[in-house]
Amino acid sequence: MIRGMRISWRLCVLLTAFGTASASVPAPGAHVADFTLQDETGLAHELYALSTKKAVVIMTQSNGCPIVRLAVPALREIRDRYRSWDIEFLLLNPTLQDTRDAVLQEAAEFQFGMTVLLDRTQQVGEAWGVNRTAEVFVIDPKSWRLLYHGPIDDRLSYESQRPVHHAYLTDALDAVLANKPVAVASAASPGCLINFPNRKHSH
Amino acid sequence: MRYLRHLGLSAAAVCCFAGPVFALNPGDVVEDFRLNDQNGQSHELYYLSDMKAVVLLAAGNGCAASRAAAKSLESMRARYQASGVEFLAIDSNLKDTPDSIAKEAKADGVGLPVLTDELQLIGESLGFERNGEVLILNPQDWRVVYRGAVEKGENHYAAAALDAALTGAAVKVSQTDAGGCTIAMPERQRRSAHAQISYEKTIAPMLSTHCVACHREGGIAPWQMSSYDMVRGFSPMIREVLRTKRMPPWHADPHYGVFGNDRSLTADETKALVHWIEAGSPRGGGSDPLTQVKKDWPVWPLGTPDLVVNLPKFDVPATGVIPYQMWTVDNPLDHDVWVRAVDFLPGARANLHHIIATIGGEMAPGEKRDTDGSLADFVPGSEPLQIPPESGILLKKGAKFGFQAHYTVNGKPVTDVTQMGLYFMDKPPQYRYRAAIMANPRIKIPANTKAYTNDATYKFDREVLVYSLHPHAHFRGAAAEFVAQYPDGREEILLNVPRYEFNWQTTYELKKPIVLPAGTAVKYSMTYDNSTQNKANPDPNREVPWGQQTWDEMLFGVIRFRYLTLDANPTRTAQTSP
Repeated sequence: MIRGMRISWRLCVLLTAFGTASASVPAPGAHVADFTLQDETGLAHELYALSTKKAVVIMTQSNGCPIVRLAVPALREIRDRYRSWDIEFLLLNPTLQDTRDAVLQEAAEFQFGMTVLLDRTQQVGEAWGVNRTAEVFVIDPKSWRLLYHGPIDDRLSYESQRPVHHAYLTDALDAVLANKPVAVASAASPGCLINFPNRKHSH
Repeated sequence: MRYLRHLGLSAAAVCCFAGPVFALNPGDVVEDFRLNDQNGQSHELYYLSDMKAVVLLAAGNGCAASRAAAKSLESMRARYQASGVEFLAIDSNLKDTPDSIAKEAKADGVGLPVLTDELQLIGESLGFERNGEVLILNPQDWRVVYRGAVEKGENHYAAAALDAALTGAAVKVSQTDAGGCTIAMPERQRRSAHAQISYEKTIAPMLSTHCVACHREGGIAPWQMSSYDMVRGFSPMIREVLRTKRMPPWHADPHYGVFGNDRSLTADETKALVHWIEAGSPRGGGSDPLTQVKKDWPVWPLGTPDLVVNLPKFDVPATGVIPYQMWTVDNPLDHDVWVRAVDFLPGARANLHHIIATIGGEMAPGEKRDTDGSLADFVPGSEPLQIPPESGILLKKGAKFGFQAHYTVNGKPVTDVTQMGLYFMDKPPQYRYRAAIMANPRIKIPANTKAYTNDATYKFDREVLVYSLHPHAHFRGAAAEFVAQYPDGREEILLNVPRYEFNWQTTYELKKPIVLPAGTAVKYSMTYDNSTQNKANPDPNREVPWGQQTWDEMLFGVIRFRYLTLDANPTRTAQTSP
């Protein structure tokens, strides 16, 4: 109990939570508090400094996870396709085990071409209710509300791929750019479970 | 003050536990699992994501409450199945076996699948305490909507919960006391002891033995079990792949046959690993054996091959679905040789998923030729093929090698050149190492069908010694079986693969070769899943014909054998299926 209080106290002070500090899956529409995290090169990034962007897209990542390794090229391709729009694309590594050097190496080996925010205390990951890698969060920088939470699309599963039938992320971005509501605001997201040892486990 | 109040609420909301909580109440999420039922068929919970509701019954043989609940569910099943409700029983009782469960279900006229939870890991996580209790789940988010008795007197709790779930209404009574017969779960009382399971003495050696052959630097597995920190970070994922039987990649039903290349963990190992993870993956004391793993790969462990064949160079892209590569390579020899062993040296070990090597390509059904076709398979972590003593494979001069290569993408482009090494015999063997092919090139798998089964039979006209069994299909392969039909009318399951996984082209090598008397027919059957629930299915709307590529299908099984009596002339043309 004492341990739990300590952690939630930190969450509240740093205001990294979607609303209250619950470990449940964040609902679209939830408010996203500000955070500052270092990237794999040591640079600090503050979320709210991106307030002039059209949207902020953040995908969870861990080294060695096959699903996120296969998702990164797809995210990179989407970033390039939406280059004329002012959208920020970032990766978030909320794992215990991936050191800064290890992330640098993974980013170089797999040519991420995107900044990886390191959340080694897991405060952002816990507050956001991150469960797996390759979960995408689309955030509206005008209201700092969550617009979409789920996979890039329905292509990837465990040890298999199939043609895309639902392009969730680009559908969401197109809606944002057209000032329309996001039709599918969440979807089940395959990926590697990330160990959050201080989180109440589900079943 | 407001801020402080918020603090207190938050503390209650995230109050910490080192591992899973073992009461499972309405509103809680049920994690995925895969279990075999009493008939050897595999069921995965999350496969049922297209259902409106899923009903799980804790069942046990000889328990009156369980029998009464099963009978009630059986009649509810008739009413609700058409509305998209799936009914499954789970037997987590240590005394019950698939055979005894099947017997009692048959005697009671119960048709619903009874999943056998022999390790109790699923029952433990579902919080099962009494046979006769039901859980009703909402497949939209896998939350429990009802837990308790099927009914009590005039109160039909489960039916009321289903009616509410089907109309999207709130379930009025979401929890009742189920009563029923207590399930003995010895590990549930040992939660504190699980925190004492030693990483150094139990967990790391187990991973070294079973996993590190692939989960190491440069291996086909995407992440490396190179330290305690890595294992701890992936612990929830390890638990999930064990619960869903995705890893280790061994897909045979343990109740039939004993196989020398069995990659699975034992029951005790699986339980220790899952319980260690549920205890929070404690480091404990001592050294970290996983940091000591050697870095080199074996290069021709059988010595320098007599012939090294270079396979074509292949550029593997970063991502996407890669078709199987089909190659023909000339045999440079100017004379016939007998092959005693075959090995492969992968170029891009992290990407080469399997190779099926043949002489002249796989034989079509009914085709006759001088060689048997099959040569050897490569899968990650496999040993070289060493043909049993006194047997060999004839490689004729001028014959061409055929290769089917499957690459897996891992996010970065690489180039592969793999080599095959052949080892020859000094003199012709007493026996030919033969292949029997069971195939049906006329299969047509209906569109949007979850289970379509087809089969082919091969009859041995002489007494044979069988070494291995190999089922083969593509993206839609779901389950496979080899059944021997003996001349006296008896039937025996030689191999049951309840969950066929096309990524792992496993040859199941019998630990002790078995004799089949002359006149034995072996029926090979494959069940295909051509529905949208099959996550590997490129197009569920297509009727799928036979074809070499993965988007088409195959009904193709191989048995490696030799005749029991000496071959009068081992170079004689092999028998082929009719």
